Amino acid sequence: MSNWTDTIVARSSPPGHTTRTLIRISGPKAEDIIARLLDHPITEPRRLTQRRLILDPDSSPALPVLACFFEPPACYTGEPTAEIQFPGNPELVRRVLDRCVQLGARPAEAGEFTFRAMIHGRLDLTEVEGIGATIAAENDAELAAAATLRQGALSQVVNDIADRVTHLLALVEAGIDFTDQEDVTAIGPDELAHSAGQTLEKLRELIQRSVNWQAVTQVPAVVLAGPPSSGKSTLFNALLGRERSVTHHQPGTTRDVLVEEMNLPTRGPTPMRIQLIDMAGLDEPLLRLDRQVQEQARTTIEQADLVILLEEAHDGPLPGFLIPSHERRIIRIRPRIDQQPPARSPSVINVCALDGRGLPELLEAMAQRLGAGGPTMAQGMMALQPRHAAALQQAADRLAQSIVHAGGADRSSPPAPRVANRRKDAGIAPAWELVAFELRRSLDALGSITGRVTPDDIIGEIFSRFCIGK
Amino acid sequence: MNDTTEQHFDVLVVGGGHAGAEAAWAACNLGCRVGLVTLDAGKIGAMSCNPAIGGLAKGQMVREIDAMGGLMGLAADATGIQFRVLNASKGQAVRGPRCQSDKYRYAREVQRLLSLRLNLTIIEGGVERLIVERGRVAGVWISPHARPPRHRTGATCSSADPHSGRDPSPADDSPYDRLINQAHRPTEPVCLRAKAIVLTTGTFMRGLMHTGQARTPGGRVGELPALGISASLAEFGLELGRLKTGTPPRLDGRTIDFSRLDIQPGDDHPVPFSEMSDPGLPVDDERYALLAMRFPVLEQRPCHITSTCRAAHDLIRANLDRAPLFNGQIERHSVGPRYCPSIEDKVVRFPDRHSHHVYLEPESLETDEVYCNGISTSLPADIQDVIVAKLPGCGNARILRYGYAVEYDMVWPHQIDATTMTKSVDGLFLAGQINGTSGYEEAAAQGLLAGLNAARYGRGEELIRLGRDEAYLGVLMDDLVTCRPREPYRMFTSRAEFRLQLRADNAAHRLTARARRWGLIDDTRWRIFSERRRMEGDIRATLAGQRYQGISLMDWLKRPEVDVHWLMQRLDESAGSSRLKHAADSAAALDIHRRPLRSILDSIVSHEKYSGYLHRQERDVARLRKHENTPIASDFNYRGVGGLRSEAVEVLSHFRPATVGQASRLAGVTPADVLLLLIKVGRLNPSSPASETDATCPV
Repeated sequence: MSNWTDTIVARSSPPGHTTRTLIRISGPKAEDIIARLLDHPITEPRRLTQRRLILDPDSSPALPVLACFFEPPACYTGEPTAEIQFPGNPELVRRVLDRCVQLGARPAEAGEFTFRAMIHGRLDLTEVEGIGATIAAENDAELAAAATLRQGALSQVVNDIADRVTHLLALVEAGIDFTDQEDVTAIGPDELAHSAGQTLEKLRELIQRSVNWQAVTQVPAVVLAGPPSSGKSTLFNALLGRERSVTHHQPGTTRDVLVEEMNLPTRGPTPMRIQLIDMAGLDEPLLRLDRQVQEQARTTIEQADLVILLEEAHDGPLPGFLIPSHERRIIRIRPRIDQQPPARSPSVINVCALDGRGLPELLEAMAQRLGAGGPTMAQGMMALQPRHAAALQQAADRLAQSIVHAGGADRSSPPAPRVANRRKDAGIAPAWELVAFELRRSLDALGSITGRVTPDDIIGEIFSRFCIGK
Repeated sequence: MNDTTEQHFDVLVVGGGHAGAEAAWAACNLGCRVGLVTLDAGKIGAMSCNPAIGGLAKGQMVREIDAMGGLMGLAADATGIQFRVLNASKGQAVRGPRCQSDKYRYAREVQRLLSLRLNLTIIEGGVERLIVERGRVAGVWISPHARPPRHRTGATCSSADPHSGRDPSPADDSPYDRLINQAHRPTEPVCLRAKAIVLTTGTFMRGLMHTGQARTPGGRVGELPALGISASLAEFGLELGRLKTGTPPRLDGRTIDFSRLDIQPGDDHPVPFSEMSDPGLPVDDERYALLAMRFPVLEQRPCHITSTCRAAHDLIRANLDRAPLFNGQIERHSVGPRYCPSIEDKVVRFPDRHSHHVYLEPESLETDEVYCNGISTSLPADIQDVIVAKLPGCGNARILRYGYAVEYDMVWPHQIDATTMTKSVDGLFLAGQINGTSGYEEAAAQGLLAGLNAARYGRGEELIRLGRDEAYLGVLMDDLVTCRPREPYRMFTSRAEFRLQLRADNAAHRLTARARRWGLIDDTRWRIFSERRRMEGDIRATLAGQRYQGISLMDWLKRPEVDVHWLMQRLDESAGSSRLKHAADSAAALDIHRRPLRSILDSIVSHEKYSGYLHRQERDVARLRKHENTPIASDFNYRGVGGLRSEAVEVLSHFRPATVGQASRLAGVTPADVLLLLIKVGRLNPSSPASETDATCPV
């Protein structure tokens, strides 16, 4: 983190308190990155502007977001800063962060925005006193997360990969540094290509099978969905047990989605923490909702752990975008039974948010459903923080490049990149120092997850394998 | 020195090994009045172990020493009897020049070069005590040293060694004996005063030698140990450790049957270490005249290869209880190097191997001594006899000197800064094995830095640190002050993360201009360097202008299949060759196949080859430099830093890093810890990032 001249990016809103995610970008490239993320540039600084987010110009529909750009000195970090707000779902957050990294930002480290604010003189002395604690706390949180990782499956897999790369690098370095030793038989290009190729496969598999870290650490999300005026907001407040003042329509407030955390009573001693989401934005006549808003609603509902579907007695079937694909994740209720006939089907809970009828049954059903199936990971799936994902990708890219420099051909796995064969075909000797260069970078990238592998570790590995010393 | 009992110097160097000689030379370059205290002036520059200079990473360091005006490259070139570039078939970044040296001539050449320095005084004696006043070093007390009567470095190491070889017969005594004859030999304790002192104790500080059960106090065969300094250092709060190293038996070459052995010749076209060797320009300066005229200077000799056998291994295993290393005779915490294990170590650690190579290296043209590289040992003499007799070709070989192990005191190097100055005693500099390193080259490089910084300290100038991206010397110093060594530290190219940048071919590029500003480069060297730089500029222009198949030769160099031979072919084919000669016509009879043009071409080719990768590392370099040299006070209270984790507090309090850069590389310190530190250190001023032309720190 001792670099403060590059551009950093991170999700800034604390997870769980809102589905509006705030992604903040700070540094010299901030303006450029935000311009390339949006359909139109932001014309006026410091003004929250409605734009559309373009992640992939070819396919995915542009997502409506709120974006803002700040110029120094009038901003938190004291350097060019951009912010994008959008309804957060973990997958989308990950894709936006990935895109920012592609465009030249680096995932921020613990406390880094605050740190930049401090070094740019944005904080006064008394505030600076508190910074240490902030950074320390974030550091502790990261270390704690890392410690969890260390015991977890991710670190086992990454450690295993790092061990393979360490081993490979040791063989290459032995061939460089101890070439005058009788005992050292340097690794050949084909052997390197084979071994690095296998490790690369493992790494790619890991990346493909990974899910976003936030998806598994986030508290379960429960969405209230239903046609306009079906009483979602009333039910939302009733479940929370208090009035929430939100619905003034202004840019920059949560117009489309309202979120609160609440404790759900369970049969056990501890209540379950959940997010309750009111899709307030759907409270417009359905016909007027444009495709993007429908798309957004569909995404939110698909990502939810549980959907409470409010079904009116007299309306027809709900529009398709409101209904999740998995029946298991739906609780159907008949709202406002003080105003309309209750449902007869035993699978529908009759609720009156105003007098509280049916609420205990609803809460019980929610607890039951969530308890039965929280977010789970498939076998061998890994949860990655954006920083980890970036590190693994970097490790894979470098490893692939090492094969190119060795110019070896791996016959047992998919063919090495075309350039590798060019080196071989042209009869050019392997560039072992460049092979080592790439392996070292690959290892450094892995080291940001598992802890750094030092040159001394490599040398130790060499000594344990070869009899060095003439 | 007359009879006065107090003498004043600018810089005092204690010890005349490779670190001490280089330190004295560097301080002399800066014009200081320098005193060099040694037990025996005739042993200055002695090669205690293998008769070789350079190798992988080590050769790069010698090139760096030469680029900074040092003497190791000069002495090696003048006395080499076999030159070979290791890894010649691999990329330029990992090629290491190496030579076998005539060890007697090497030491005499070092002595001759030192004798040319009019501002250098040699004093024979042993340091009894350091004088420290108000936390600053002020001088040393030395006592007369009981020394054998012979002064000159010769094959007869000492009368105490019954197995010494024949007497060498130096061709010309006068220039070589000058230093010995000039040395002062006080007859009673003397106080030498200086603002800055460089300690280079080598293996002499409480040195203890082992051959089997026989134990002899001393730093080298036939030489007494230095006993007083350890206590003095401990008295000033320095934590000492103990390391060990070993040396193999020496054989009489006349009793070896070389005809049965594989031969290992040197390169057909020897490449020198020094820029001053064969520079293609006339040089009349006593230091460089000979090398400028002719390289190599001496007749070249081959090495031979033999190997140990199973029966010898069995014998070693059966006698481990007689090996000081295994029977507990050598203190258990004395740690030996894994990269240079004794033969008993190898046999124990690799039981499934039934043979190890042994390289028979000639030690001198003047004697028939042969160094047995590969069977360093401290086993008793009767076992050594059998091990040697069982080497093919050595059935009748006579051992001139038995192998031995030596253990010695050192100072744990986290107590020095990367400038080589101790953190607790201002003005006290440590270099060489005292810092836990191994190797002539590692010692000499530290010596150069210590001599430079001692001179600067005396003048109140900022001390120099070299970055990890600037020199192997930078890597060496940084490793020393941020890692606790578990064995004598030896340089490897794999230790340098900026290896592609730290090449032998660009050492002068990296360092000479800066060294000139520091005062290390004399006018003669500067003239050669400037001329070479001018020629390189001309050649680059030529290569950029000349096209082959429509592409400029410079652009061809970026292709992986193109190397210097390809380039020379194109130049030979075309008129380029003559144009090159024209470009460099200030030098007489320049030929692209010979130095210096050939080496300039090499350097251009490798620069172009690696430039893409170097560019990718630039960001790392920038990152490294950001607060690399932001100082942290040596008494900084880490407990007072809010939020710092206790593990970090512990590590930082132990190492007491001198800079934030050093702190960031300690194991157990996270980036967030570094931030907290930066806040507290209060040097956060991003609007004016420290300009890093010279890495310096306040005295």
